[in-house]
Amino acid sequence: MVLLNGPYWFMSLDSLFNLVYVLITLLIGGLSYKAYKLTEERKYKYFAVAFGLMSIAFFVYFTSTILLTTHISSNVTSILTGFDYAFLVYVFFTMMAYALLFITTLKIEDHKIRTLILTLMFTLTVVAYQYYLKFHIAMFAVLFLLTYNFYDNYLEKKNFNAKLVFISFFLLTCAQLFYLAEIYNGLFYVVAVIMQLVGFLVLFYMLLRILNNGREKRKA
Amino acid sequence: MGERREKLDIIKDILEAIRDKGGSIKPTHLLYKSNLSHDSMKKYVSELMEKEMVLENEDQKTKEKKYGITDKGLKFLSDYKQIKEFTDSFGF
Repeated sequence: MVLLNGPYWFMSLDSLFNLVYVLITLLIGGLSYKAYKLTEERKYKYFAVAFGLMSIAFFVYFTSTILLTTHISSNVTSILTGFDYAFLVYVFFTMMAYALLFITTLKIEDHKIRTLILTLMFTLTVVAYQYYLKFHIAMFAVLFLLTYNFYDNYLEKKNFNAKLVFISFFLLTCAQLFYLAEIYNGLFYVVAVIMQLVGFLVLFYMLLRILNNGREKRKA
Repeated sequence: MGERREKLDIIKDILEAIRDKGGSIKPTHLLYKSNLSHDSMKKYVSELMEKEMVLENEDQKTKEKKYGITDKGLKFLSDYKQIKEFTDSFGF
């Protein structure tokens, strides 16, 4: 069963962390949608959709793991565990979200390349065996390039929020390595989840700084 | 050579120019203040008029055409810093 990973004592905590990710990704998506409404530039719309898809993925993960760990219904449990449907839905939405994020932040304009990226991300992960490994390898590659891009952005802008985005994505990238190492020891899964949680909390802190600055500006 | 301005910055510059002139500005002044070509300025102003951030009115004394800023335009200016910080953080 791919959806439930790591030590048993950690499963409920892991589920709850996904609710935190839902909140953070929805906030980012919301701010990006606000930018889209103000400028009508498509890049902000795609960015908002990417984070919206991430929210859906985390919500699917949260509800499925809660259903599996609480054993509410044996029918639901057998459906979810039959062919790892829940994990595949989670993978599908996550991969589509990161593909869109990749295309938007790396400013890939060519439609053919965009289609190729989306197709590759989809086929390499969902339509394949050993999708847990392939998913995290693909995620590592995408996150690594995104982190590199955010590092460049930090060097260019030299502002603290850009640094926080870079740190956050660096942690999310490292987390993928620990997810892969889980095949050797279940405790690596715990390290990966905590690293991912800290990564998202750094993003949340960055959002709070932006929202507070906006509020202070209005008061002034 | 200066850095290319993003659309978000151009809209802010136009609205700020109108606000700083007391909420109403002549097209020639706006052209100078916004640092845009005539065609680009017309394109942006008509887009902002469609979005109800800018309105066109006539000076009652001189009968000259002027552009004014609406409440929605002022709201954009107060939201601008927040959105700009957000877009800069992700490198847009």
